Amino acid sequence: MKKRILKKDLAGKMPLLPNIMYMIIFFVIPMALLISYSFFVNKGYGRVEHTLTTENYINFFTNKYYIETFIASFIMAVIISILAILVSYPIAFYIVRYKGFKMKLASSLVMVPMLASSVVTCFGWYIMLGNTGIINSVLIGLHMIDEPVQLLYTRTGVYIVLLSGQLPYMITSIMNGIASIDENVEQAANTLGANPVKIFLTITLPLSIPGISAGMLLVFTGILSAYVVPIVIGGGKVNTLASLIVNQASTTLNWPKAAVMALILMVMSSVAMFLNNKLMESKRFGGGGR
Amino acid sequence: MDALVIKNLEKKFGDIEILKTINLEVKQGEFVSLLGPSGCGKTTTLRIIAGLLDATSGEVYINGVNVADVPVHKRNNGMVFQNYALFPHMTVAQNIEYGLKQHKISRAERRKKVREGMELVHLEYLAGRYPKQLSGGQQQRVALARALVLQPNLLLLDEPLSNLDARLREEMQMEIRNIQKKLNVTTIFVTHDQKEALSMSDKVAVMNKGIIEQYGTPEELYDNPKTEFVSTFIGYSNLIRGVVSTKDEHRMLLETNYGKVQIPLQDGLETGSRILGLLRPERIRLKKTFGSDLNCIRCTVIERVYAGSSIRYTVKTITDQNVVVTVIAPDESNNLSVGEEGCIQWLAQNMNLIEVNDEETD
Repeated sequence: MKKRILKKDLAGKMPLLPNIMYMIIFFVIPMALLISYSFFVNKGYGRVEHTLTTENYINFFTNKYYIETFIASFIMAVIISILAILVSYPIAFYIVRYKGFKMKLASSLVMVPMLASSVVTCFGWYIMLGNTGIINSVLIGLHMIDEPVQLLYTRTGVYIVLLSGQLPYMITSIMNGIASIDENVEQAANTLGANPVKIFLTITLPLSIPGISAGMLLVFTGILSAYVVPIVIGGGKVNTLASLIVNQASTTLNWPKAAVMALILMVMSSVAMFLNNKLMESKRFGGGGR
Repeated sequence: MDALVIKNLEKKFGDIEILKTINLEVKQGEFVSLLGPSGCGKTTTLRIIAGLLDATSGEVYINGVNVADVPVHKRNNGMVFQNYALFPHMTVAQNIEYGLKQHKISRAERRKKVREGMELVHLEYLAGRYPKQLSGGQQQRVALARALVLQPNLLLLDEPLSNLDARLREEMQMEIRNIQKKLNVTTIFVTHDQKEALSMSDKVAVMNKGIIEQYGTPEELYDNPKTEFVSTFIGYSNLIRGVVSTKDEHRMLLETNYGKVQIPLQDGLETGSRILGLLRPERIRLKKTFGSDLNCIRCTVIERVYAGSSIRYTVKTITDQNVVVTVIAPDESNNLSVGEEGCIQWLAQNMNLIEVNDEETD
């Protein structure tokens, strides 16, 4: 009896087999390899000795340069996430709340940067940020500065370009968040004596948090693993965790160290995702239930 | 002074006229329903009273004050929305406290009022729950308490019961009415459910296509409907159409689609006047026997629905009109079967006569 049920159960799950195989081959096995490599001894040129060691981890956490780069990457991800919220929220709010043709146009324009490859947008910015680029020309033309500001190959330049690249994700997430707020709820607050500013602060903004949080997750993980922009705009002067990993994996050919860094990057992203999920599950935002 | 006066209220959305000319007066402590089919403008009227919509023209006075320039948050009306519109990120207690906070009431006073509010709707034990964890009926109560703790000028209810199941709805009808009486709060209740309006209200304004067709007590509306719309929207009415054919000092004779009907003289009706008679099914007598009576209209039973204490017949007159007759406490003389012939009769005072103008008839 039990066996038959088991059989039936298995038969029911057969259609899932190709998907499960795909996940095993392309996700589970590589992950297992990555984790095991992080505990192997480096033999140089991509070769490893299959003895277990925590040397690679100790090495990473005691190296000042790595730690500094790691912290800088983290801070960059946090700052750009916050900047993205500040820039995106008003845009998302107006697109959702003020309907009409202009807003439809605006919401499609927001998506355009997502369609272009990051290499293409990068080189576009490269031209704009240069000493004779449009930004410096305009600033000089307006007599706001006398000398061109160095933007290329600086952290500021990297920040500007990374931020612009992440805005579409943040705007769409916040738009979804705001669109899901029942306008009756705001009107209820209004009838209860809240003026428009109070309504925004006590109702609209708190209820947008799930959207903001989702956007922050996308931007945070996107910035942590940003590679092209820091390389092209930073010109090698702005190192990130991702560029360190590429260096270790393809230049230095120290795969165990690259594996350690990759895992740390992944843990950070996972923690961000976990925190976001926790927030979404809280009863305030409609998760859980009784 | 009346708690609410609406004068010549008009509302247009673009070219579409939602409200034509709304006039309404509501006394302090009254429970008034705005009743009508969807699209009649009842919710629009309520939203204008609340201040959530601006009127195109006309005035709204709350306790004698023209509120045209008073913003929503200063009107102090308690509103309950159809979907309750509770604050999902706040607990029951926080929801109820919200309005008190906005009115800068001290913490101690707030705590007291929140407790009173929860007691009023019997929800003390749910203070720490979030709206998502509540049933529809419980959410409804929270919304009500939230609106009432502020001691509002007006309590505005926008179809608050339409999302509840039938039993709960009846329970809430009673409860809302009891609370309203206890607090003596002037209440405007929007509904499309005529039974609900009749059973709960002191007065009902029947709305249709942006106007108030009739405003009166439930009894007035049922027993003495002034328009065809009111008579058919509230309960069921048989419609008799005809003209006054002859008239003497005592009587007049109507030529109607049911046949000839003789009625006592009535003011305002002349020979040739077109009339509409509204006749409730339970006001008609159905008999097996038929004499040569003028006011006895011969008919054949085509449908019979037995409901215990009453029987609902559909009969066809010899002029080929269907008439619905409800016989209450049926006995030998009026218990007919399908296909059987009989006659219908009614007292002249039980037929509501309305004179109709040509352009109104279709």
